[in-house]
Amino acid sequence: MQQCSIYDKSLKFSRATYGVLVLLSFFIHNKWLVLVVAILAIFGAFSLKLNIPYQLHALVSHSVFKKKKEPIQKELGELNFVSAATGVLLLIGFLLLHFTELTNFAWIYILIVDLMIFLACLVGFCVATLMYILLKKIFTRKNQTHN
Amino acid sequence: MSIRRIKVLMIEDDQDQIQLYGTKFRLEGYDFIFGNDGNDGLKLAKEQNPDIVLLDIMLYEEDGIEVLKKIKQDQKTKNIPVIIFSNLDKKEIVDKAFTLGAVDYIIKSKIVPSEIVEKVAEITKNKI
Amino acid sequence: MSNEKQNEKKEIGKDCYINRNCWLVNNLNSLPYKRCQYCELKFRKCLFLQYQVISIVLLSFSFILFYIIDRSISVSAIIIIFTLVIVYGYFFNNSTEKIIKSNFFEKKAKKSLKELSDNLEERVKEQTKDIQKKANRMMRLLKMRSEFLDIASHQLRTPTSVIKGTLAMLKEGDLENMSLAERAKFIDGMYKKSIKLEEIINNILMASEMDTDGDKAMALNDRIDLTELADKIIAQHSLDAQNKKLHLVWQKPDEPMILQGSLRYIEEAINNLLDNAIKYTNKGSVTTTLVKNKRKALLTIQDTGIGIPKEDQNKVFKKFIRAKNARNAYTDGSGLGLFIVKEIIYKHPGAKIRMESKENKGTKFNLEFILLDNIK
Repeated sequence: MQQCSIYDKSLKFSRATYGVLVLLSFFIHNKWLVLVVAILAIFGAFSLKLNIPYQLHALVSHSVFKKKKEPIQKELGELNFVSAATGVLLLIGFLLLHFTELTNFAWIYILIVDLMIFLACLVGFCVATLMYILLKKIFTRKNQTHN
Repeated sequence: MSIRRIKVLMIEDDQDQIQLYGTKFRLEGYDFIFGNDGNDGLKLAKEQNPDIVLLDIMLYEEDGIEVLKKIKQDQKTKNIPVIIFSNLDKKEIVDKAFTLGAVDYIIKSKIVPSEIVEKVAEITKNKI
Repeated sequence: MSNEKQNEKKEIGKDCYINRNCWLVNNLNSLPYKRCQYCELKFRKCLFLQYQVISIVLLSFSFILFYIIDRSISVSAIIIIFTLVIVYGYFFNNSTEKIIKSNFFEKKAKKSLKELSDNLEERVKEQTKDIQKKANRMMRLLKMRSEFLDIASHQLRTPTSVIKGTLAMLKEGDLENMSLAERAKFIDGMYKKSIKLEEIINNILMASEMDTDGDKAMALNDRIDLTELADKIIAQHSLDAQNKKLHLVWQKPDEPMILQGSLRYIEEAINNLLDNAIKYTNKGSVTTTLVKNKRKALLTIQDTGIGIPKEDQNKVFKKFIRAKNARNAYTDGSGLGLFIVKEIIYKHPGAKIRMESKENKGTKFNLEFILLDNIK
């Protein structure tokens, strides 16, 4: 699997950004902010270069604060999947808000997704990662049975 | 009754020593015969029946102790007193010689010829 | 999983370590936490998993409870629970990190202590072996020394006992009772023995100088002119040869032959060989030749003497060994002469000695030396 070096703190920062923005949108009941975050997350899914908060943090902490950071290895697939999952879940939330009447349910759903983002960021416990592994296992087993 | 002369057999490979002790014993009235190695010596011991044997340890190709053993084993010679007369001064050899039945162990360089003659006289005095 | 990556040496505790026992890390191929670097446990023993499972279970359980009890899920309840989970999780994470890290370091310390003690054991064994070897060597040397002293002391006593005996007889007046011929023989015997005594003392001293178990190198600082040296030694022996009515043949070479070595010892070696040649030859000649062959000098001493029997030829270079016919000729040789010559030759780099002999025909000794380049 493809590996890449990323800055741990910057990644955490980007996730925190998403979380904070979604929390904010919850408190001001703004569905468009939710959409914005969803799009940001989906961008980040394609490539790390498009992950705006990440790049921002990396740039700033390097040039302004001159902090030396060691990159850690993470699997590219996992990162992309997690970003994509976040984006998709938020998108679903937005769609629920926009197209249906289940606003309460939708907001609670968005809140839960948001808190899971915070969980991933602060504690390192990411449900999406687990999903990713399971899916990978299923796919590889499928490939093996095909061959 | 005629007094016969005491016969001394010396088993020694150094000619100069034979000359020295031989002359002394003859001057003192002894019969002196010698063998240059173990086999010679044993032969003489059996044939000539000496009254005493002076045996050296350092014989060429032969260990004087072996010769002593053979003397003490042979019926004809086992009763002849044997004095080990050598320059080798090693405790193990001395002990071995006495165990095998040597009467005395004398270091050549420690005594003079007259003293060895006295020793021989002492040991053979009851033979006459 | 790709096996190529598994071939790289990844040690626990390093950055690139992947815990193969842990299902999560294995599939992820990266470390979810920093402490996974130090962890060797299986996934089901992992605190991470336990925490995750419990959290998910509790969360879902509490949401269901809320729904059942309150018929709706209150936002504050969700926020509170999540906050609790997050906060506890954070502290839990830290303490787990500390635990795993300290476990790892303890293990590491134990391992290095064990290595140290194993290493120590091995070192001690090595040292003991070394000491044992040295002790054995010392014992061998002492044994050699004591044997040497035994024989040497015996050899010294032999001539002294004759000298002492003869003088004792002189004191006691026995010489008066001997015939003139006998008396002359006696005194001559004593005289010869006293010369022998000096020779034996000399030989024993020289042999014990050689006898250093091969470790000490000889001082080879002299520039020796072999031509002049051989000439001198031959001249010294001409009287002895004349007395025995032997021809002493020697052709002095025209050029000097310079070699590097010890003058005293080379002189001794050539002396010993020439002594032997004259001593053990009763009629005929002793021929000495010295030739130069490229960068080597060859000194040959050939006699027409009693020769060395085939069975003794290997042994004569050993300490205290004399051939049977030599013994018959002279019973009181030290047996050290050829041993000394051999040792001297061996301690000169590049020098060689060869011997050919036939019983009753004669003996030939060849000495080979490497010459110094003549740089004036």
